[in-house]
Amino acid sequence: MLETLELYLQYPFVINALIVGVLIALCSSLLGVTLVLKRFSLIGDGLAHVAFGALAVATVLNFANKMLLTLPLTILCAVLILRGGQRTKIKGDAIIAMISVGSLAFGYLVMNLFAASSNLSGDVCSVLFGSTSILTLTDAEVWLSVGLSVLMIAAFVLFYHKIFAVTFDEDFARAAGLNVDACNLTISVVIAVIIVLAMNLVGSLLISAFIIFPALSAMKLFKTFRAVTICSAALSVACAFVGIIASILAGTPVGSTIVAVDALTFGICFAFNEFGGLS
Amino acid sequence: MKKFFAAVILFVAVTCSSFARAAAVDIDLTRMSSTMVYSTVFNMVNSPATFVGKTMRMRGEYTTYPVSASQTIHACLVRDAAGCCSQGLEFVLSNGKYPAGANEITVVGTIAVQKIDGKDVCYLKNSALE
Repeated sequence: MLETLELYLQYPFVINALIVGVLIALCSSLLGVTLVLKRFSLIGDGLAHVAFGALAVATVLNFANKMLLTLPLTILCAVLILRGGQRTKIKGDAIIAMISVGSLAFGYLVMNLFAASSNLSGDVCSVLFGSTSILTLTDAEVWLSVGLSVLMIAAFVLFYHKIFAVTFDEDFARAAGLNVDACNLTISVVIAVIIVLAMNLVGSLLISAFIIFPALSAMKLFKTFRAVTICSAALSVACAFVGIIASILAGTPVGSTIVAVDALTFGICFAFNEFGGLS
Repeated sequence: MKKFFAAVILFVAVTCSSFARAAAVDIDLTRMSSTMVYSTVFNMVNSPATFVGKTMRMRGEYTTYPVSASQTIHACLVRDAAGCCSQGLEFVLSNGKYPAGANEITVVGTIAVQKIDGKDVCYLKNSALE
């Protein structure tokens, strides 16, 4: 098996997949803790569907780098969901559901009407479940993913204390002079960027699991925000690495293998917590 | 005893020939997982420059595409792990004798590039079926 792995690691696209996969896993896990604590777990799912719709339009318009259209549209919808939801009469979860299914349906419709590829079902399957997307990245996509990931990690480290304050008590943060609206806006933009990046790794239907599982697993082991965030990042990176390696060795779809490893890790953490854990 | 030695010699011969055959090509897709097979062919088709000149063995579904009344493209098709995406690679046999009614084939050849409508298209030249 090691011999086979050594052979596979000679291919540059496998190394690219591991680098991008680990970086995306790190990004998504950092913000996953905040999303779970703010009861925004499903926003990832909603934005992933928006990203699918945008990707469908980019495919039909023959964009060389589809991220150039997918990223701004997803960011726009993230802002609309998080900021618009506070002002309109439609509740936040209803807005997420509405934009989510609307984008999914619109994306599939556009792909069907103006199919640029002869293998439509394959394209849709690949985007929804990320079967091998991470192993078929172009050099431009790799550099864009690495650049955005580094930017996201830097933003999280830089605004760690503000994110912490906004996550636990918005009223207290506002009373302490923090611009909570600006913080929430920043968080929504960062979420959108991570969703678009993670779509290459696990596909748009599996992104939520990718964001939520490491955070929930870490919460079973630790109780402080810092410890949970660090543990979540470590678990997410380890699961992504093991998932990618397992999928190329066993010949299974990359996205679902990573999520399966995440789910298994959650099961172990849950059992550890229930039967003789740290708390 | 003679039968035992004969069996051992046969086993060693088969094993050695198998290793020799495996070592004869630069990229042996028949020894890779389905995820790696699809990804390798996808990357080969989309950026062929790094693969040109290498010898390759691949196993997949035999398919033909008629381009005109006199020309037909013969290709080997591989699928990804989920089975929804497929990627084909054209091959040109040295002896010109293409299989009739074959489903799964194993083809060995050298990766080359040809210009079609101004675009570099990857294919296997000097190929042979196994």
